[in-house]
Amino acid sequence: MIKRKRFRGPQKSLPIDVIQNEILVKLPVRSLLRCRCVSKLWCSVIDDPSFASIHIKKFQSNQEKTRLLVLEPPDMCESKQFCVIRNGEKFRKMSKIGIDVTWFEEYQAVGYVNGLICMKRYIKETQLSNILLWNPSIRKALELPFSQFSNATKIRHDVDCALGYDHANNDYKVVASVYIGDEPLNIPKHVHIFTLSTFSWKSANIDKGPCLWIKGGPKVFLKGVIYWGGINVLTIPSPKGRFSHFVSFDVTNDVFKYIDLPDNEHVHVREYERFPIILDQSIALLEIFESYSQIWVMEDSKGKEQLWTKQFYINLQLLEKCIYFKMDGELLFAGEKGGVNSYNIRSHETKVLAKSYKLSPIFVSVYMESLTLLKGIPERASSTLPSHETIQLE
Amino acid sequence: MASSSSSSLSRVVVKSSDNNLFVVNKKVASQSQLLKQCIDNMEEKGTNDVILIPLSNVTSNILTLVLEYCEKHADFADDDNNNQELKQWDHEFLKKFDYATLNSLTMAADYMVTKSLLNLCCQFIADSIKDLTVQQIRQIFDIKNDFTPQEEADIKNENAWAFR
Repeated sequence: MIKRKRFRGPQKSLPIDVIQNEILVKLPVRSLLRCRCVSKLWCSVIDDPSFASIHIKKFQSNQEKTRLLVLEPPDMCESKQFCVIRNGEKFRKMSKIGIDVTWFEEYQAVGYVNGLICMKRYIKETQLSNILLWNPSIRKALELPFSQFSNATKIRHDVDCALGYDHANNDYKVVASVYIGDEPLNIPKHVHIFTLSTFSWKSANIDKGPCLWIKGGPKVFLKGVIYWGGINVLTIPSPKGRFSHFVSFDVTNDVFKYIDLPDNEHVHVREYERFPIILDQSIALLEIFESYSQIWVMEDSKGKEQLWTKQFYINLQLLEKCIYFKMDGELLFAGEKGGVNSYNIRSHETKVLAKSYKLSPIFVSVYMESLTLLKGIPERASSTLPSHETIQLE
Repeated sequence: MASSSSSSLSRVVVKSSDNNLFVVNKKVASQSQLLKQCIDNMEEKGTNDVILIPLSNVTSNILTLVLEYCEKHADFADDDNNNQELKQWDHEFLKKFDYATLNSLTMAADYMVTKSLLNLCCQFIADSIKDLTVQQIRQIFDIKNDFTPQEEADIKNENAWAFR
């Protein structure tokens, strides 16, 4: 009479689909790495890259509790650099990972997506650059192959790169622009795209017309697209901080676009900074001037001309003090005499998070635990960072 | 339950695997998608008789618990899962069970498609196993270790830091 969902018969233990989709997805990654030892079935479930993508979305601490990932400069007495997980409300230390500084210090973090940090470094001796993907939550790192950028000519090869996630294929891509020699105009010689699942690079098809590429500056990733600041080198000769455009890269379709920014009414201002940020689920532009800041929000206009509206005014001196902008509208900034403060762009409320924090963090982002890089990449390519020392304080 | 206009059923009878009968108010029964589906089907057919729904996978002990949960939750709106009183009640409700009962309750919630109870049980289980050893987890889930000692040691060594 009754159509049952499925017939299971009387049984004592939970079916694996319930264990996988309802229980394991709710565990922190440290527990999951232990659970791989439970049985062959559990191990294969956890190692499946599709499980990693479900876990990112469902693991609640990734959404509810705000934890911050903070890369801190090397300790004076120890030869270690630290990756510290801090509580979002009080900036209190929850756990930290020590990394051998000789290996790590030249790296610069350029992006953080699904628990994966994209880092680059320039090696003086070889005049080459390389790129590293690092998932601190599982202590796994992956150096990208760099045969593409071989240096037969002994000329300086510098790169800038950005990381994005391809939802359609549960894959990751790095887009890298390569600068050869001391190119004054910041025009990259090549642009390459790295795909994690195939572990290979390919040349990007870019329109070289209006050359809007630039080295440095923050990158943000939202809804399958990476954004970073670009500059029209033909019209503005002094590029520092003066982005005239955003360059966007659609990770699934490998499509680049240029997005006009609101007219720069402050060209005459000597010092200011402009960053792409994410506010709620929109791309926004944070402009920091000497005595105040403002936020423009971009309306999603489906490929037509972008509409920018000035939505927030911040009556604070933030120049060179901004540490991190959380997408819910909370801005972290360094205090006058050290310490970390927060400012809410809607309530205009300022709070002191950590009075005595003396370091200048190198990189800050909302922490995400994930199994990305655990499996699904060539075995030879994966490595654990050297001297990964875990100090658990939770 | 005054004017449930067109719908004719106000109660259903649910039979456990050990043949005990439970008379359940429709609003309470509707917390389970399986029972709700049965009721909807019968109503479509225009039956006025009290219907009997046999649940061959759920013992009366466990069914009593599921129905206790459904009764409590029927008093709250669907989007009220964040209600503090309800959250507190959920926690008190679950914390008195041992793992064997939790397991059976989880299976019953899955079988009867009571999503919020399934989610609640699984979150509770996840929270309580996250710091346990591999051996303890095997015991709770009644899982036989099918690794050789060498295989298990190798897997452990891949992420030795997580075991410290």
